[in-house]
Amino acid sequence: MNKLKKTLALVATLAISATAFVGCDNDDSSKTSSTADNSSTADDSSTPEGDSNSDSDSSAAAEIKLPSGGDKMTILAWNANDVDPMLSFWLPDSGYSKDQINFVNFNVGGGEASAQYDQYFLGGEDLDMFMVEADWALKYINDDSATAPLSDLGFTDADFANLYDYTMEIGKDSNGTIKGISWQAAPGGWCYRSDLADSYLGVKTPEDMQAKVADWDKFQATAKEVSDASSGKTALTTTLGGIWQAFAANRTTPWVQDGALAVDDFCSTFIDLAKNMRDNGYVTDLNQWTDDWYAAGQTDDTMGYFVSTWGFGDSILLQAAGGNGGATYGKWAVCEGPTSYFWGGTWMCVSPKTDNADMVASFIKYFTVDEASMEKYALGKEGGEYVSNKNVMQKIVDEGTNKNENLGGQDQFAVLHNSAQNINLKGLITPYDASIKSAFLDAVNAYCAGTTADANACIEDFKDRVAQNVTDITVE
Amino acid sequence: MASAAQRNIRSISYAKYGYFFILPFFLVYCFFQVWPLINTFILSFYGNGQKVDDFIGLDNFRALLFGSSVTGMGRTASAIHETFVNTLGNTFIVWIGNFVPQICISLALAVWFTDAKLKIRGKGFFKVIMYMPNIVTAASVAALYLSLFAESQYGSVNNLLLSAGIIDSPIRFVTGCWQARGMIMFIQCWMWFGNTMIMLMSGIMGLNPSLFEAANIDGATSGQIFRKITLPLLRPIMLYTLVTSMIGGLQMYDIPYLYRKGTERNLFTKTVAVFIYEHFREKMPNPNYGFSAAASVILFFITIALGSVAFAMNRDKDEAMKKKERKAYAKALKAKKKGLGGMEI
Repeated sequence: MNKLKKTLALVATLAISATAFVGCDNDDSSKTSSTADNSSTADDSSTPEGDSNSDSDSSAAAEIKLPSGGDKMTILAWNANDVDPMLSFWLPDSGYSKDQINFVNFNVGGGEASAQYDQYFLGGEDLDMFMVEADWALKYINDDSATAPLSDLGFTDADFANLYDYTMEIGKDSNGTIKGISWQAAPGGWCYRSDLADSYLGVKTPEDMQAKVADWDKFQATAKEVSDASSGKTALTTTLGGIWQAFAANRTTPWVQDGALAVDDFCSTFIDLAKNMRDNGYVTDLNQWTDDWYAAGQTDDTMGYFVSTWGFGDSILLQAAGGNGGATYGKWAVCEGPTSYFWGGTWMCVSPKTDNADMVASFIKYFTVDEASMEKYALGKEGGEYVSNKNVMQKIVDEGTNKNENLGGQDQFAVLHNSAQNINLKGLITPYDASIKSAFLDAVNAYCAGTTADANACIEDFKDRVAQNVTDITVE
Repeated sequence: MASAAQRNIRSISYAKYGYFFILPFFLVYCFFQVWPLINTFILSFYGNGQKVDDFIGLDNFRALLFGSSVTGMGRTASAIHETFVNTLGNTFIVWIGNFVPQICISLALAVWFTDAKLKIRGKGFFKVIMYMPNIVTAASVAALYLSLFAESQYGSVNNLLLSAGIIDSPIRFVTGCWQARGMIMFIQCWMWFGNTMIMLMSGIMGLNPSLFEAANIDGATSGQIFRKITLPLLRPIMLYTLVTSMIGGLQMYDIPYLYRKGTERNLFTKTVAVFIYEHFREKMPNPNYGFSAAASVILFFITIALGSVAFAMNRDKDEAMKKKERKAYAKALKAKKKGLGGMEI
């Protein structure tokens, strides 16, 4: 009996300790296999190791420094909305087959993808490329063990010269090295009901409307005009969240300076604006991403929505109009609004452990450098894609083929194209922006709903929220 | 003198096969349950955000429980303390608000359904109907209530009340304080009363029917039967319900998490479990594992404490007294045997 107990204990211990080593084992095997691949294929990558660390100038950047010849190109993403159509364009044109692609789709919301990635990275499985959201892109871009500079794939700054500046800024690490790149841009505009604008403001064209909302003072003045003309029934825009999306782009200093949260006049300006608009009914008390938010678009209770490139379809505006042929379908128009801003977007990063550098380079080239294929994708993707290349978008705008029926035939690209060029993010990005921005909006919403007493209490509330949410920075 | 073979044969036991069969369970259990549990305790002594690898001792607990100025935490400590206490309060309020009506309704229904005199028809049908909300996933339930009770004038219920002229402005079902708490209490109660009812019914049906018959023959009223027979005998089942509901209630997560307006979460309905999840998953770019783990550990000890209190309160006092007496007697006997002078102690 004693013997049996001992054996059992031994078996149990062994089994447990064996499982503990599962991760390590996997890691090792993939490493060895990738190095084996390196040595077996002597393509154009002469020295796979060591070089990736050295700084690369544009002269040396023509060659791909990371190893190629791996079994499959592994792409990580949190949904298939982009990767599937992208593959369907790139595969036939590049000559690679679907069998060479290993697409790992986590099928979660963009906000949850980072945690899933961390797990995947720990597992040490094959990885060549992954998609990131602007909100948490810097977490990986600033980490040299997670992302490789694009110069290691043979790209130079000149290759990306025609991309919108702001999309490039997000892909740069703290030293200014380009480590992430986007094929799409997501500039936003302000959509409004053209019929209501006509009856309340006498505004006939988007250009006239733009003049009435050119800055935030005019925006509020116009809101008062609409409110007076409709005897308080119609709010100029639907949510504080939408206003904040645009207003936050006004910042001229980063949110975090020297590791501390910067609370400045910018915050109080927005608090006053929000309070003013909310108290006077210039903005409804609805929140984004609720059923009510969409429902309001089919009534005369609200006149506008802040919408970005991807929001003209079912995500925002089409649903707000009640769908194709809905109550307010076709009655909308778009102008730039008070500020140029962007909202959302996806960036591509390359893993330094990639063993298919040639495929990754071809993929990135197809979607961010080659203007012909970018145009093909912009027009060919179902519903169209707003690509990140200025020239391509300029060409599409000039041709004037895009007519959005929901906007009464207006071309939203023409408006957004202007907006996108004016977005300036130089030196403003911190890894904590998303958390800080949403904490501020929550604090302002609480203030407008009466939970906090005055503007000072709102600022304190905001600081408290940030102090809890982002423990890596100091909050006075 | 037995030979070696004989000795070996004596030690043959089929019990070992039993151990082999349950071994996989214990391996999986250790790996996926025991280790994460232990790891939670370990993590609660480590830092947050990027400092997740730094051992910081009891700082997380000090921050959560007292909010005193913990070195290096600055404003974080006081802010997180406030939120944690707030979520703890919410948890108890929402749990009590759902448990009290739930147990009353369940008990009443259970007594009626099991009463032989009432002869209610379609018992099976009602049982199924009342159990039904429990089968529906919390996600669907939250979606259903969110669209019915959307808080603007476009929500179904608000729209109805507004057009009927009962209210002047829409009720804040989702972001209000007591409105939202009330809704969550109601949803929890609605989801779980069927389950509790079935449990209590099985308890009542397990009681000796001759007691009820005797009471009937002696002319006891229904009220008397309920108070003098059903309730005292149902005590163990009631205790079980209380304890399971309390554990479930302290960990209440799905409905409070899902019942929110867009991306904004109502501070008045945020429970400890939601707090834990938020810090574990949603804090970008680096989650606060330390706070999350420390809050879990605190919740764990609260659960143990409350569970013990519930058991202590419901202990059969006569039985406990008798046990004590028996123990004392045994002790005395032992002392006597040892020969302590034969004195009565």
